[in-house]
Amino acid sequence: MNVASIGNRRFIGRRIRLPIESTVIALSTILSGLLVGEEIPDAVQGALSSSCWDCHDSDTAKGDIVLDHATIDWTNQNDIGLWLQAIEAVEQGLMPPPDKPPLSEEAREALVAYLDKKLLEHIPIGGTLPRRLNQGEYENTIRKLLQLPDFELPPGFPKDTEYHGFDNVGEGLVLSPPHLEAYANVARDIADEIFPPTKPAPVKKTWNAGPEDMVLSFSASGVHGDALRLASGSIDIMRSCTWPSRIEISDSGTYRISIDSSKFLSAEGRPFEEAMILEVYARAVTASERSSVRNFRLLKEIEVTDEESKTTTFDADLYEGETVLFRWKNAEMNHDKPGEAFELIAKEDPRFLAAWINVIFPNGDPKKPTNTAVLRGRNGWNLVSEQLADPELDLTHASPDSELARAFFNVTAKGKTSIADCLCYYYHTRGPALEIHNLTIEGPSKTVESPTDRKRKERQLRITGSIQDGQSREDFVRNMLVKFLPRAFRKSVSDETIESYLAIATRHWDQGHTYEEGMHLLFRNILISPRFLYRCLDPGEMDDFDLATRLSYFLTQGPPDATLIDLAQRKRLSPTRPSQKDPSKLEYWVLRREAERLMPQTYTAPMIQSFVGQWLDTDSLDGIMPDPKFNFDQSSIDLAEYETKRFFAEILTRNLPMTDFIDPNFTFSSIGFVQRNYGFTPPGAQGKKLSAAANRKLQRLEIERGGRYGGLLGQSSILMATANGVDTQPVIRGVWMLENILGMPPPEPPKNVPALTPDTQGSTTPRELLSAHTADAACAGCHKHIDPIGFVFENYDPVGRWRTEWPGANAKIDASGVLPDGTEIKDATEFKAWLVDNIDLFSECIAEKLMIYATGRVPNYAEKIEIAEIVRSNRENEEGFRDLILALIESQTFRSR
Amino acid sequence: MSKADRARTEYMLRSGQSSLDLVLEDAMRLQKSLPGRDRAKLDEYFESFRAVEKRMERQLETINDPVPEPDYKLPSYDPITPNLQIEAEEIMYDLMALALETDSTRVISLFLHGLGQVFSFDGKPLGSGYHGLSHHGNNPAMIRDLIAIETAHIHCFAGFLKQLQEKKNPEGKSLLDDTIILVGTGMGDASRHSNRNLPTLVAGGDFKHGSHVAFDAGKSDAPLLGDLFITLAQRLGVEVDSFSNASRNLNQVFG
Repeated sequence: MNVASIGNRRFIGRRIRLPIESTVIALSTILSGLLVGEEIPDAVQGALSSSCWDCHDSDTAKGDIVLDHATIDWTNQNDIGLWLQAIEAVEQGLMPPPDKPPLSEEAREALVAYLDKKLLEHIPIGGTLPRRLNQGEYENTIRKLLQLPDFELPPGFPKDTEYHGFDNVGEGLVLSPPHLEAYANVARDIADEIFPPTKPAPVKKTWNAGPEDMVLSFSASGVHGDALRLASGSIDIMRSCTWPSRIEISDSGTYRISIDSSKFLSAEGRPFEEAMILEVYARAVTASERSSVRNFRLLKEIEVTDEESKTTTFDADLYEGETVLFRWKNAEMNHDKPGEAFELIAKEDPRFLAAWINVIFPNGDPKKPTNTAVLRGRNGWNLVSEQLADPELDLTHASPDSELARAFFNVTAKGKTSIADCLCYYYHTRGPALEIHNLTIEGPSKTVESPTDRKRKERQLRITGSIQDGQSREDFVRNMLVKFLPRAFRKSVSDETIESYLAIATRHWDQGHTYEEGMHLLFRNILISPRFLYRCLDPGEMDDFDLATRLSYFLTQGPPDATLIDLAQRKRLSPTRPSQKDPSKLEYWVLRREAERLMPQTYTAPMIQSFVGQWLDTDSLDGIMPDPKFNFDQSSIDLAEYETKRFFAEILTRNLPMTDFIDPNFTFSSIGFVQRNYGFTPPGAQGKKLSAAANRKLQRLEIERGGRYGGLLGQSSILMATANGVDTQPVIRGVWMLENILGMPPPEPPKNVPALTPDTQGSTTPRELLSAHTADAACAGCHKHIDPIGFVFENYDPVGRWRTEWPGANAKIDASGVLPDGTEIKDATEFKAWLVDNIDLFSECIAEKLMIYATGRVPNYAEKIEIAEIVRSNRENEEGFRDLILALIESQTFRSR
Repeated sequence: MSKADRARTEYMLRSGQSSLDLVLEDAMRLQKSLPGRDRAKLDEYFESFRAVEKRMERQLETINDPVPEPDYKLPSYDPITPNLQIEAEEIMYDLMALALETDSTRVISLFLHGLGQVFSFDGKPLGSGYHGLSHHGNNPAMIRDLIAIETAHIHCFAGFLKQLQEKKNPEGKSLLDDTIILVGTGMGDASRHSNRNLPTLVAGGDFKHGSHVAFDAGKSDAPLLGDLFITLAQRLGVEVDSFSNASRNLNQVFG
C-alpha cells in the first residue's frame, strides 16, 4: 500500500521558542531518614521560606516546583535543574510574581550568591555532542577536500533540523536511514567526478525530434502544424529559445546535425526581407531555464531565406550531457526592448493599437494603466484577441499620436516582459517567425575528450598523485591514505584505520576489478565513514585537531586548511604565553593569530551568511511574500537582506563598538531603497536629481544617530522577518526581540489559549485587543515583558516602513510602554537609546548565539558566566565586535568539548 | 531504466555491500573509544547503517523485476500563464499517478506553496495573492477569491483521485484502494493564524468514505490528529500504537 500526503501550509507562525531550561523535576532528597546532599544554609532557607514557600512548598507545589528541602544533592542533575530554574526566575525578575511581596535586597543577595557559587562548582564547562556536518558544512568540505568548487547537494537531500535557533547543534543533527542513504548516493556521485566509471565503446545512434519533441520554453515558441515557431531574439533562453526535450548526448564526440527550417510570413503580418539567422548552440541538459545563451557554446549560424522548408547539415562536437538549443538571432521582436516592435506594428495596424489600448486602459484613462504583470503571455493575448475579433472595435484613439497611444507606448517602452510575452503570440500567428520542422543528430563519427573528462583526470592526479615506477599499487594507495585521511577525517589517523580502508581497494582488485573501480569504492566509503561525517568525536579533551576543526567551521563553515592541519599535526595550535596586555593571564597566541587569519572579510563569507541568516531569521525572508499592497518585490527583499549582512560585516571587519549594532551612523543600501522604504534622503543626495543608476548603486550611506532608522532594529529585513508579509503582531515581535536581541527568552506560552481574531474592519486597535494580557494575572507575568517591546515596533509595517496609524483601526499608533526594569519609553528611538545604555544585554545575547553556533551546544550556567565576563571586559576596555569574537575563541567555553 | 543503467545500479549495490564490513569495522573501533553519551549518539549511525544494508538487499532482489512502461506524453503547456501553479499542479499529480503505477516509489509527499502569486480566473486577476487572501479578516470579497483558489486546488486533486481509481495494480485492484491519500493544512483558520481544528481529508486505502466527520474538540476525550495518523499507519501494516501525544486509532469512525 502507498502513502501520498499532501500538505498545504500557508505561512505558519514564526519559529519561536527557547524555553527556560525545561527540566523534569523529581524530588526525594530524604531517603530512609538519611540526608543525601548538602544542607541549605540558614540565610538561604530564610529567603526561601519567606518568599517562595507560599506557593512552592510540598503541599502547594505550584507549577510542580517544590523548594522546601533540607538539602540539595549537587551531584543530581534533577536538583541542579531545579535550582537553575530558581536562580534564573529570580534574576530575571519573574519571581516572586508581581502580586506577592518582593524579596528583600539582603535575602535576594544571600539566595543568589549561594546558588551561583554552588552551580558554578557543579556545572563543568563543556558537553558538546558529536556533530554531523550540516548541509552547508558538508558542501564546503567536499568543495575544498576534493577540489570540486561548484559542488552542491542535490535538491532532495534531507534538510537539517534546527535546534536552539541553529542548524549545527549536535542534538538537532540526527542521522536517520534516509540521511545515510542520501550520503551514500552523494558519495557515489562525488567518486564519479574523480574516478569516472569506464564506459562501453560508444554505439552510433540517430536521434530525431519533431516540433512536438521540443521544449515549449515559456512563450518563446508555439507549435503550428508541422512547425515550431520562434519569435523573440532575447538572450534569456526561456523567452526566446527551444531545445529537444529527450536528446542527451552520452558519449562526447563529433556528430552530424541536420535541421529543417523555414521562414514563416503571412499577408496579415509584417514582411521580413533579409535572411533569418538561426543560431545552434550546445546546451548542458542540466543548465537552468533561466540561463542566458551567452552561457552556451555556439555551434553554427544558419541563414534561413525561404518559406519552403530546407535542410541544413553540418558536423559539430557535442559533449556528454549536452543537447542543442535554437535561437532566432535577428528577430524583429526582442524582450529586452519590446517597445520597438509594438510601435512598428501599431503604426501600421490601427486595429492592433485600438485593441491594446482597450486592454491596457480599461477605464480609458491614460494615467491608469491596468496591472500588466497579470496580462502575462497567453492570458493577455486572449484578451487582446477578443478585442481584435470584435467587428465594432472602437478606433477613435487608434492613431499613434493620440494621448492614449502615447501612454501605451510609454508602457511598452518600459520593457515589461509580461506584455512582451503576449506579443510573441502575435508573431506566432501572423509572422514573421522562424520555423523549425525537424532535427536529426547522428553519431558519434569519432569520439573526443570533453573538457569535463579532462578536468576529472587533472583532479584525480591532484588528489592522489601518480604512481612511481616500481611502486606497487598497494604501497601507492597506502601512502596516499597516510596523507589524505587526516585531512578527510580532520584527525590523526591510526595505522589500523589506514589498513581497513586500504583493504577496501585491494580486496576489490583481488576480485578482478580495475584500479579505478577499487579507488571509486574506496572514496565512496571514506565519505560515509562516521569519521568524515561527524566532528567532535573524541575519547577525551579536545586536541589541536579538534580545535582547528572547531575554529575553521566556526569562521569559514569549512574544513581546516593545510596551514591548520599542519599546526594540528605538530600540536602548535594551542600553545600559550603570558598576555602582553596583562602578564598575569595566558593568551592563546597561535589560536588568536589563526582566528585573525580566518575571520570573514566580506558579507558574502559563509560564516556571515549562515550565522546572520539564522540568528536574525533573515533566512526566512524567502518564505515571506509581502502582500502586493506594499509594493515590495523580490529585488527589495534582496536589498533588505543585503543591508543587514553588509552592515554586520562592516561592524565585524572594522571592529566597531557593539553599540553600533543598535544606533550606528551608517548603513549599506541604495539611495533609492532608503528613500522609498525608509523615507529619508541621505545628506549627500539631498536636493539632487539622481540618475536611475545612481539610485540603484549599493553604497555606504551616512545617517544620523538617534533616529528611527538605522541599526538592526530599524532594518527592513528584521522587521519583515518578525511579521508575516501581511500584518504585524506585537507579541511575535516582542518575543523575537526578547530572544534574539535581549537574550531573555520568555517561557513557553500556556496551551489552550485561543487565537485572537484580528479586526480588520471594526474599530478595535491591537492594543485594545491585547489588553486582556495585562488584565489577567496569569498572562501578565510574561506579557508585561513581551507586549511593550512588541508595541514599540508597531510604527514599522510588515516591510519596515514607518507608519503612524494602525491599518483598518483608524487610530493613531500608541507605541509607548514600560520596560522590564521600569524605564518608560514612548517609541522605538527611546527603546534604542535604552538598549545603548544597557548594551551588555545585547552583547551577551549575540555572544551566546555565536557560542551556540561555534560549539554546537547551548552555553550552560558556568559558560554563560564566562561569556558575561568577556562582554564586560570588552566594554570596559572600549573594544569592538571583532575583539569580542576573538576573546570568545580564546575562552575556556570555546576550547572545551 | 536502460539495461546498462540497471547493470550499473546492480554493480553499485553489490560493490557497496561487499565493503560495508570494513567501514563498519573501523566505525566500531571509533565508537569503542568514545565516552558513553557520544557512543549513544553514534548509535544513530549504526542503526541507519543496518537499515541501509537491508534496503540494499531488497533492491537487489527486485532489480530485475519487470516494470510497466506507461504511455504518457508531457502535455504542452504554457509555463508563464498566470495560473502556473495550478497547471504545474496538474502535471505533478500526473507524475505522482505514474510513479505509483510503475511502482517507482511507495511514498510521495507533495507540498503546495501558499504564497504570493496572484491568480487569474476567466481572465480576471484576483484581488491579492493566496497568502494575502488567507488573512481575509472576514472580508466577503477576499473570502470569495480565496474560495476560488481553493476550489481550483481541490479540482486538481479530484483529477488525481480519478486517475488512481482508473489505474489498476498488477492484481487488478484499483490503485486508489491500494493507496492512502492524506490532505491537510497547518492552519485551521489562517486569518487568525489558528492551528486548531485542522481540515483533514482522507481518501483511498479501502476505508469507508463519503462522510464529513466532525468532532467536539472541547471534549476531554476528543480524538487527536495523531489518532488518525496511527489509524493510517496501522492500515499500512506498521505496528504502532502511539504517535506524539496520541495513543488510539479511529477504526470506529472508519467503520
